[in-house]
Amino acid sequence: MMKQNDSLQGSWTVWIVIPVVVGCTGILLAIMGELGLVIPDERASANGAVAFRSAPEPVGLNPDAETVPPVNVRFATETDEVPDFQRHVSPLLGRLGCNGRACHGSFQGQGGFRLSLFGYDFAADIAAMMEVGSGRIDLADVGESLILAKPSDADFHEGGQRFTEDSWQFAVLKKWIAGGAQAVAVPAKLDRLEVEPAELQFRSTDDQAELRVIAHWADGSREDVTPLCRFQSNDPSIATVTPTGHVQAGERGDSHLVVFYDNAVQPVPVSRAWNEAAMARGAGSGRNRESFGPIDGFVQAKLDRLGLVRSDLVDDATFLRRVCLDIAGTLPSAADVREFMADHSPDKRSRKIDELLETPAYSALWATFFCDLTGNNTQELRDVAYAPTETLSTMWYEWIRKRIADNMPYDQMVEGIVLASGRFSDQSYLEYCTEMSQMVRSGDCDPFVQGDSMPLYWMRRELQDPDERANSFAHSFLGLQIQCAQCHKHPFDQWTNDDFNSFARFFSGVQVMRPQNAPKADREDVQKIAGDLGLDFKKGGGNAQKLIREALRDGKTVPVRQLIVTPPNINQQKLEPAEKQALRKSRKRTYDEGRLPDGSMVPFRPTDDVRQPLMEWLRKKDNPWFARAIVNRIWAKYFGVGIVDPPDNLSLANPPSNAELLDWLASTFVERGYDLKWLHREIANSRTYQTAWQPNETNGNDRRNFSRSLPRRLPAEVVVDTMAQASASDRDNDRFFVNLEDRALSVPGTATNRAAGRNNSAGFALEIFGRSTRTTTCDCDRSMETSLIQTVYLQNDRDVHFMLGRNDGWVGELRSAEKSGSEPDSAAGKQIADLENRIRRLERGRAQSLEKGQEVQARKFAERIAGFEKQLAGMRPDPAVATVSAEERLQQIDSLILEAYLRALGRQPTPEERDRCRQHMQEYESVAEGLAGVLWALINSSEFIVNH
Amino acid sequence: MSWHRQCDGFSRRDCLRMGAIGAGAAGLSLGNFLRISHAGAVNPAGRSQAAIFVELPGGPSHIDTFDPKPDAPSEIRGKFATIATRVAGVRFSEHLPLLAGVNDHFTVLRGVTHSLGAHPLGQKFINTGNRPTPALEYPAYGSVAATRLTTHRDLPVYVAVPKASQGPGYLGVKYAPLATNEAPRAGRPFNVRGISLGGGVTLNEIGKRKQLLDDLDQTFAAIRRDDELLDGLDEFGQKAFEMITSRRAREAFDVSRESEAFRKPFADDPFSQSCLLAIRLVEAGVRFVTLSLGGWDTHQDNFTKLKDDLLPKLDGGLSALFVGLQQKGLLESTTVFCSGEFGRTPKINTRSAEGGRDHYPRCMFMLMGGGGIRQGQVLGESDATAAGPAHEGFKPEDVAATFYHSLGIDPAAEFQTPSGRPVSVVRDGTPIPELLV
Repeated sequence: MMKQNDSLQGSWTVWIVIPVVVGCTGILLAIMGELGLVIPDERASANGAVAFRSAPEPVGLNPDAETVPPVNVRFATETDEVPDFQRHVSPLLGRLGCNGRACHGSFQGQGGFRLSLFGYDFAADIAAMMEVGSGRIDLADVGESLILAKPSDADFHEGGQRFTEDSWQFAVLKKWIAGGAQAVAVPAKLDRLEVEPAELQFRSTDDQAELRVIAHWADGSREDVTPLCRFQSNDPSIATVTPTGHVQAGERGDSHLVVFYDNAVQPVPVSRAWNEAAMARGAGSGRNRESFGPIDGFVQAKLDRLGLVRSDLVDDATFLRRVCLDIAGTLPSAADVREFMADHSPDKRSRKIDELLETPAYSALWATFFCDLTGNNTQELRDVAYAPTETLSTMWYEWIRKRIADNMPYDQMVEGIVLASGRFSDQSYLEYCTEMSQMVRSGDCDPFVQGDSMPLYWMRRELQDPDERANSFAHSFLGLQIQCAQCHKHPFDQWTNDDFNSFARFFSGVQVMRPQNAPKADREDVQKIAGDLGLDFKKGGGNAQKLIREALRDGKTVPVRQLIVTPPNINQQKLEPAEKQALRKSRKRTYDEGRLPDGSMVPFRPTDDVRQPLMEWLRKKDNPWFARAIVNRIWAKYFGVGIVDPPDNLSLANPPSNAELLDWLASTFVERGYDLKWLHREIANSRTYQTAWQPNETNGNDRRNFSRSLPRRLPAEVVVDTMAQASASDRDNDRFFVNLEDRALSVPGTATNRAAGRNNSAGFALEIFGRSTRTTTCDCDRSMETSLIQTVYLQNDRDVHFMLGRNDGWVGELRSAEKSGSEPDSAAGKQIADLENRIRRLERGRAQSLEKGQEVQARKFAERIAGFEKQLAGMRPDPAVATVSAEERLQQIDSLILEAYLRALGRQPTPEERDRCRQHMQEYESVAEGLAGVLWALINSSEFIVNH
Repeated sequence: MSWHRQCDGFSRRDCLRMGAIGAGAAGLSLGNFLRISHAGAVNPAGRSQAAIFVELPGGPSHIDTFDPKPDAPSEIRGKFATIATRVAGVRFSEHLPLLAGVNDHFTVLRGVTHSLGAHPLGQKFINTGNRPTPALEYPAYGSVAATRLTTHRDLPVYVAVPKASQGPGYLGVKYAPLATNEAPRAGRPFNVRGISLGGGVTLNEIGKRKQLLDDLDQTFAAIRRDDELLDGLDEFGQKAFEMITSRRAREAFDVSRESEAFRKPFADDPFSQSCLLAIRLVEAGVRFVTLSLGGWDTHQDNFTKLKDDLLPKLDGGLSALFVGLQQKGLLESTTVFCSGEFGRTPKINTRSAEGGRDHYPRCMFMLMGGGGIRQGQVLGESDATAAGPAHEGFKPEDVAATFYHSLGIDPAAEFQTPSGRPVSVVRDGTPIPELLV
């Protein structure tokens, strides 16, 4: 199946290079004569040719004396060359698929033969091939070696024929064996991969191209390694690439091709313009090109290259709703909308942005975001104090929320987590336990929130293993998914299994110490606390927990787990038995060094807190991930898609859609002292953010270049809160930015079922709308999808019916006023409202009883309801007195419809919408009942549940 | 999912194509939706149209139920005698007389073994067929089934009675079950959250509101079909309304509509009534039902709890489930799988007066019967003291693979997680041939 390679032999000899200077970027355009493509220069590029941008360095594309021709040429004929395992044989095994997951790369191997998955464990791979008695490599009779005989089908091979005996692949393997099957003494270092062309811009579906890859080794040697690379297309609808590097154009849009060789991963941008006419017009078109700041320039440059025209500027009302939801997770109140619309000053948008960043709701929304990122999972904290863990989750949440509100520089906040210590430096263990016991008991977390440290990040039950901590850390602070490398070479990035293990060492020095294992200095305190409680740790188990829980309730000090920082202990679980023995003899206990994800080694001194160099590295100006990860994630919250997307995958094989934009945001964020509010401001004030969702003729299908605003479902907490807000009384409708009590945004941890009682048992809604469970190291732990259960909930859940009609809500107050014929705050009105309120609660109780099948209980509810109804009937004024004219009634209806639209959608209704709502409301005798239907319909509309 | 492809093997273009079909519009970006990446994922060998998973959280003792050791010393054997069953040579605990009478409908697996002795981890393992890892939350069986199986528009595909302890994991909320939150009561109409109308809202009222909604909800009409989210909101909105107003759906949940004679074997306890509900749901077209009977964590007073409470409930409910399915002609098309998260220690602890048994994942039982499953046999064997499998033992992964296989779902089929990692339905399991028809 690899025979097609032969047709490419010698293709490197026909490259023609025609450099053309375009603007000041020095773009090189090249073609392949072999494919018969038209030479594109600036003029030619308009007539359907392929434009390629080449790497700026080095200039030469011609195979010169220094670049070794590819293996498929060198080994096509007889040669004396002995291939190298690292440079040729291992990548060839990858190319042939031998070390793939479905073949010998499987952890079970295939036919008893196992290779390291995706290669790079040279020693193990050679050992597997050289295994005595396996016959895989026969140095005495090279031709009989099974690694030649099987894949060439001379001997039965379950994986089928991979090459023929006259192929270059066969020759490479054979020559390597004949040369003694030499191992890799010291792995050579690959400097970089140079791919030609460095960028592809297609014009039609007929366009094709060939990729050529040159490996630049650190020793100065260069080789054309095209036949040894693995190629992938990140979006095959835009371009496909064959195993030999042949590229075929597809749909319009932009993506990347990715080339893998050795441990290098090299992306190649590929695109086909969305609209040639618009692209040709480019900067000349003038439409929607206004720039509010640097962001817009970077975005515009990319749009120009793709022939995308940005959508119009968003209108004021839509902007207000969007920005309130994005910055503070809160709807503008009806009053806010009116005020904003009445304000005609030119800077009203940026003033609104500044105002929102100072609201408590802003700190709550983004504290929730950081709790997702850092994994504030209540259940995983259950061991810390043997006690209700919600308080611990509250400590975590409030610690972060204070820092968001104070706009603490992001790096300092992270430092408080990364370098967290168990207790204040001058605190004894006894004092620590006393303080923690008090906080857990009272729920007053202030001392913790004021402290510099947030150790709970390290204390989660399922994150005690250094490997899991490495995964979690990389996810939380670097936006990386490194866990593939926990077991094998990372398929989409540079890390090998060794790299991973070396990185995990940074996480082996933090211990969560149980009281009974406390260090010497604390033992006296432990004994004192245990003695006071009559606690015997040796008895252990559930009894001790019960005792501790009771003691805590009784106001006593209980023993609490603490964070202890030790030197980086060697993780014995990772060692083979022989290694363990050797270790025991050497009495070595700690690692000497660790490797950071960028490949640099950090020496450890035995006394170090090795998190310190880790933190220093995060702060380094050239750290490739730390700042990028956070700016990209926050960007993704505003646009529904990251510059790198998914936002927690800053892998080499997943390049940003706009690298210049991401680089600028990240570096400026660092220069500005990791100022989060600066970032929010910069984004929200940009023309890019303030773009309408309505597509134009060019950008309807663009989802990655920010040419229009993408509708996004509201996050789970915001769904719950906005429903409550839209249906709240006039008094409360205004308070949501300030009053966090009962807001789903202020639920700190993951015990959302405990949130019952708050906000109409928000737990159920939070679950079905996909609030982050904070159980895995993936941003996808929060779901922004839609589902059937969600729409069933919105249309018919008892909580929704109750919320819309609740007596202290908007509709409820109106109903009371209507029935009493007076204002709700008159004495009679109040009494009636009170009765109504009781009835609503009883009705809800009745519904719950019915669900539980408690019929007797339900009947009791019904009886009480009937009683109150009777009482109410007597209090209601004579309907004749309350009669209003038809005209007055219509006026009232219209003003309620307007109010409903302002509350739910932040805009006025169109005349058609108003008429339709009127029609609905006039079908009801009670204006309140009609209004309940209108509010229900608005809450169920896409426009409500989506931020747009 | 915009960038990844599997490390080797399949072409992502196929995956895109499949995704596009699923989304109902070609050429869309796929967002975070997961797509089946393998062709041939639906296995025609599967016999069942539906499945019922019965979880027994807490971890039931194997010795005191389906793997008795009458010849073991008393500190292991326990207090229960054994009885013969319908299958010659097979004995159960004396407190499972009804199941002993219908074990020609299912197979008992003995000597199932794993190593996760904590409730949450064990449950995650047994309820997904995948050993848990912090890197990935695996989906419940029902959620996987919901990606493949379809039913009438006005019915949910997957229902949990009252709740499932395992969520949809990496599949996302789209594949979460409709949870009834409560169990039905004998002979009473059953009000299900979201399905039953209430709170003063009538069918007429909700109909009027929905008309208003349809007329008002036009803002995104022009771009709706090109946007996965907006299209989904619209589609699910219509389907929700159909379900809420559907007689079929309301009646399917209403156990009181079942005939007196059929209802009779189902005792008036939540579990038995849930079993009855499961039959009605499957009959109506629901494709996956999860049931739950908890309380098996018998560290103390193991025997009293089992004898007086747990075993009568399990015995009555599960036997009636099998018989009821058969009576309705549904047994051959419905797979039933029942398991706790682990077994319990052979040696009786002495922490309470009566003694108890502690967590024991090394040896446990599982039951599987109904469609596609070879019935009326015991597979596997534990050693003399039920301390481990006598021979190789069954892996939970293999049992899970068998379960999926019976439903026509290839356990080796792959999903892509939102971060692009290919994950098979069951990572490390193959169907057990002896368990299949």
